[in-house]
Amino acid sequence: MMRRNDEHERLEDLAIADALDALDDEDRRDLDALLAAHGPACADCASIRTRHFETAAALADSVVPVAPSPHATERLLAAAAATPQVTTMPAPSESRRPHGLWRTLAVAAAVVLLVGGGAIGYAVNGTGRSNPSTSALTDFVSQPNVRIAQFPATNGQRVNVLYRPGLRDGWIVGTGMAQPPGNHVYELWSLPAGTTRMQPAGTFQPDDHGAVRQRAKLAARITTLAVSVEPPGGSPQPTTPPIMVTKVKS
Amino acid sequence: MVIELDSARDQALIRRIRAGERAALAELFERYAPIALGLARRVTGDAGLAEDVVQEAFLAVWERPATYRSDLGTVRTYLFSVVHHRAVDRVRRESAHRRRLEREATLDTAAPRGVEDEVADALDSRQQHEQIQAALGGIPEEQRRIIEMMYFRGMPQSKVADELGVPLGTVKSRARLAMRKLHEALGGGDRA
Repeated sequence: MMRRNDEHERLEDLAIADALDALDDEDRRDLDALLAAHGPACADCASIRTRHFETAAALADSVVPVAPSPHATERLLAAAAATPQVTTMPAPSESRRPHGLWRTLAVAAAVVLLVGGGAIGYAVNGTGRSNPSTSALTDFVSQPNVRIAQFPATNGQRVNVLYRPGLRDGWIVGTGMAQPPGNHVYELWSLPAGTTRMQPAGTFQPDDHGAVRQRAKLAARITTLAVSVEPPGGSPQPTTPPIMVTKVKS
Repeated sequence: MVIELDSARDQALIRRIRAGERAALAELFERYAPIALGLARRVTGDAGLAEDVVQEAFLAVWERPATYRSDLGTVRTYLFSVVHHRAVDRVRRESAHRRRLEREATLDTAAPRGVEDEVADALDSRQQHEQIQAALGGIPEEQRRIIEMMYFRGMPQSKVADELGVPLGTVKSRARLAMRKLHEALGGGDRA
């Protein structure tokens, strides 16, 4: 496994190519994965990328300036008059992606927004423990029509479920979560529309920092989500009262 | 100091654009369009295409002004990044690259020109222009050529390696050395 400094050296090579718009597709994926693994709070990543984007932009000053055509400003203003402004951060899934640095940071910012802070770039192994991994979560967030179901925060514990209406794949993301007692686990439940029987959607445990990044398997059309504390391995039906409940718009 | 004032003025323009003021967009355009157009034309090798690229880039700034974040760099950096990115996209999509290379091949037989030879009156950006020219002149030819191919010809690293007949790792290491030297020569990030 690469050490952090080695990763930043690798990131610098990728960031340079990105700043020069010379990144190959495979390297683009490597860059996104590295950035996701380090998270948006990594000051070194931000510094490296900003530095090289500034340097690349300075290269523009070496060109011969060209006067725009006589009606260029009017043409632009006419187009602007016909173009409504989008004042929120662009969704990372949109095809008219913002460029390089801003694009990647938009993805990271979107994930931060979704999980309410904390590092990104965690996937989950079979034990339900969150481990540093690649950009599976950011890939999910990048898909169209991702919704957020928020459980009311309790004692600083925040849990959200990311899902796409009508589809079963989702993510459980949380911060500030206490460890469940003993060897117990948290279990997410989803209630399908038109039924009264909860379906198990996945067990999870926070990492040492209280963060949760866990894939979930939801019912196709859900109306309610709940979390309970269950014995190791989870349960087919809740065995304890839910500690969190929220309604969901399918 | 001049650059700082320019940067503050740009930030104010972006705030006004966010508020929906088209006059601010016009001001930003008139301020940066000449260099943006020069950059787009240099990359695409096509005057009409360059005009389109610059129009699209500024319209994107209007449409999504929240995309720019001041903590990530100057407005100038952002604008030129957007313009460059769109120019490279167009080059790769529309085969303008091939047309430009053919034209370059003709020019090359007469008088090879390096990046530093593209001397110009840089309007109100003369200071930056002179600075970057000096910086480019201060790096070895083999590194400058890599930057030229990647930034101004819109070539991905792998293609640069193929064209030069050198390993991809060599391209990356030369680009790294060049960009570090340029950064230092430009004041180590104090340009904003």
